[in-house]
Amino acid sequence: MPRKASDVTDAELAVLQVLWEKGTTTVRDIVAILYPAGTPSDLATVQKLLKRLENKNCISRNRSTWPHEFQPAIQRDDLISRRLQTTANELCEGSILPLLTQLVQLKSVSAEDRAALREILDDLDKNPQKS
Amino acid sequence: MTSVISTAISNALIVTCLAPIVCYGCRRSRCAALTHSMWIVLLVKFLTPPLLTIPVVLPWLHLSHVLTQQLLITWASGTCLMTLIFIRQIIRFRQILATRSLIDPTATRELEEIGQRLGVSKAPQLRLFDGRVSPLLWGWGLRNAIVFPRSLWERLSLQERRSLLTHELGHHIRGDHYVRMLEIVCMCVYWWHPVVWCARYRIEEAEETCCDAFVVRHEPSRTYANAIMATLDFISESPCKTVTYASQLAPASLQKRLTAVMLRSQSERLSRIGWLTLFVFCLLLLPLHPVFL
Repeated sequence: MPRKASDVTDAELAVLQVLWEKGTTTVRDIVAILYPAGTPSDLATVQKLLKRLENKNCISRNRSTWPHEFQPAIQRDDLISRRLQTTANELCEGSILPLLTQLVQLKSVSAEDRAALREILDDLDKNPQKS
Repeated sequence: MTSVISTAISNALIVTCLAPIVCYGCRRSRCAALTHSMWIVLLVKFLTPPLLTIPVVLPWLHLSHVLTQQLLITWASGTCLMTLIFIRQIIRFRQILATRSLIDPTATRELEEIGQRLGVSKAPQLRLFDGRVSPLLWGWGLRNAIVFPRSLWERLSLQERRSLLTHELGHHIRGDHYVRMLEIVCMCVYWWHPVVWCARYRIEEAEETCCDAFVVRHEPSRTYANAIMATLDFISESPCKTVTYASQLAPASLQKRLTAVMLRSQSERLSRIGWLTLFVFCLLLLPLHPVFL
């Protein structure tokens, strides 16, 4: 079962950032940016990271060219958003959360409800006597 | 041991009888500070021994020795399990906080300035966290921490940030972290009693209202309301498409809360009548210790 895109490690994220900046690129180009020394073990490391990212459906590989070219299959904003949510879920795992006092004890409020709340705020701002 | 168990059961019975009265009374008074105090007194009652024995005779259901033993074993097992769950969650929370958050010097200076203005001698740590959570206060008093999502911090204005930090400092000043400790102990010991869970919800709801009242004494109402809305926008930007509420009444309770903020209709302090009510309530409740037939 492929791991979720939100489970990207920091090393994998570094590779993704290169791909987001460069677009389509090869292994050697990525190594040159991340590991200027470019030793054989650095090359192997990047190849391993690319393989893992491919398994997570974060990148796509073009095998019709040589060397193979890689490009991102997930947008930066989407990944960041998923990572924020994953971290939040890890932090607030479970419904019993000891020793926490939260400003807002909700996981989500629909856009319609938020718009309605904003209307109420505007109304109260203009007519504070009306409640 | 028998007397401890007997006291625990009699306290649970008293709380069961009084909880609906407290619920009704708090709803009528609509005072968040009084609601907060009354529900805390009920939780305290769970744990206090009889201070002054005033026998109140109650019929006691005679159970067989075997059944009594089984119930006590189940009770004790539940208490151990809850304790382990909480310990695990606390350890996990601390680990995640240590690895996914940082103490930012600029943010800390902002918090310290607000703390000095509010007369706080030692402000909690401020940790900027890389996750989609609401700002929160964490800790049990030794070294509290305000956990603030970094992304939210960067998108708020200075005034909005100040209002949210004032809210969290309000919790710190009021000692709400000590109430969390009381809740944990009650939840461990009386995990089977619905009033513990109800009291927890009511107390935390009242705390938020009291801290909102604290904020609007020091910051503009609309700025604070905007900051709450920005927090809601932030936590709602979930890639998960299904909307989940902590309770079915969440939008209604939010509306009530925001209205109180805008109208400044609540106070975080008890009035004289409130103090008198609380005193009489404690005087009548705490010494009660029923004797079983």
